[in-house]
Amino acid sequence: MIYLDNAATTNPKPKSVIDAVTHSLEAYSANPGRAGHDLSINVSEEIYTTRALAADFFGCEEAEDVIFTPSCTYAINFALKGILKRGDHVLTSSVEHNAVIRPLEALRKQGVMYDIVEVAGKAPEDIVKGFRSKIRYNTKAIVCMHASNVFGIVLPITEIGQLCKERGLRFIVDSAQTAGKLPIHMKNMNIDFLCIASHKGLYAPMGTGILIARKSLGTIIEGGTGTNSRLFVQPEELPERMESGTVNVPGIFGIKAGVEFVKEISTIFIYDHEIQLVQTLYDGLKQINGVILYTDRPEKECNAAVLSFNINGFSSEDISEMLNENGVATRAGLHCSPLAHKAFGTETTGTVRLSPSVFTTVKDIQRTLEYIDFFVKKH
Amino acid sequence: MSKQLIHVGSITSAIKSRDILRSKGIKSFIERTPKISERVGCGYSIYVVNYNTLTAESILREAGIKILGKSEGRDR
Repeated sequence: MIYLDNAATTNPKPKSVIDAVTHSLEAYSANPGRAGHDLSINVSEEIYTTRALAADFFGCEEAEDVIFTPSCTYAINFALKGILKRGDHVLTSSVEHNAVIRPLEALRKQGVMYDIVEVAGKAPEDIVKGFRSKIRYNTKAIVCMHASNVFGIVLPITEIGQLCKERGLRFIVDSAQTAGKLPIHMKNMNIDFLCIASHKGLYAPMGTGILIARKSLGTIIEGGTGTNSRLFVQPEELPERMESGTVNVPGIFGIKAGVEFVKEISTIFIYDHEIQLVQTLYDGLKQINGVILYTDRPEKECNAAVLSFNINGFSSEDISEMLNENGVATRAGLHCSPLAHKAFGTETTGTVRLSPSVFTTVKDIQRTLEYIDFFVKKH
Repeated sequence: MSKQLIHVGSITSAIKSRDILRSKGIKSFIERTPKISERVGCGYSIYVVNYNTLTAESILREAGIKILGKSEGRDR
């Protein structure tokens, strides 16, 4: 199989990640932060080490700011619902995933207002201007993705972070498509809440996510944290405040191995490799009659390694199914991002999305292009 | 024999405290707080080995660790 659906989750997972998950179940099957026996403490130590590793990797100073979640979507919900209250206003971009838009819509019904800033086809400075122009007296935060999960465009988060700092706004970044691929430094980029899909660019198991919170936030889930158990109120201290219930120990072991894997290879190498592959895809697709592309040629710093296309006269689902029949895994449709498709004029057709990983080869890309070319010529 | 335990808010605080003290050359261990606190309930503590507990406590407070209290523990 040629797997080009890495924007959904990476495949394959590194052997070190699979081994770490297995090892956790074999040797670390105890509940961390709940008991005093050696095994429980040992599991807690491993989890703390993972927090420290992730904090360091993403430019956050404190290990306890790293909160493990079931997904990036949960992380975004925790951040948005943890800081916004009735009367607050928030800004977001025109290419957001439903992971941002749906919580905002739910919050709107509770009296939180939001505005969408157009970013498609705009230069970075115009995007920042767009955000600046829509800040109101009651704007509390800006929430946006680092890169589009459909079209790969990268938003100028360093500059948006600077704007947030200047105006005293909270800055929430959805890094689902960039964590582990593009450099992210929370402190330098003024990111208050970083939402991470660790099962994507960090090669961890599915069902894992991370929220790194450099500011305090309210809870939407309360329950047992292993300590302060006589109190009926949720503890204030991170990360336990945000991690009620038993954490996903095998998943966290997988995150640790995944971050170590990415660190060893380096994000610079991974990004270079992946962007070269999508450039090859882009150049090849451009040569095929009837193929529609929606962005300029992907370039470093402007794009993540995600590419969308269509073929005149065929639905995106038909193209994806043809590729599936040839052993190529892609994703068609709206990619849970109707807003992004609307911004690019593909809300009725959807697109076929191609997304490589560090394991994808040039040969994989060439074969995919051959299948698409053959399909077009045959019809 | 008894020993002095410094109570902290969570296992994460306990590990962080142990690491802070270690970075200052102070050896310590993490333990479950032996007596359930009447105020907050169960928790974790730091047992400082061969070092002044008051100084260790002061180092931890300075590093932002929330100290919940102290107690005597039974030496193992």
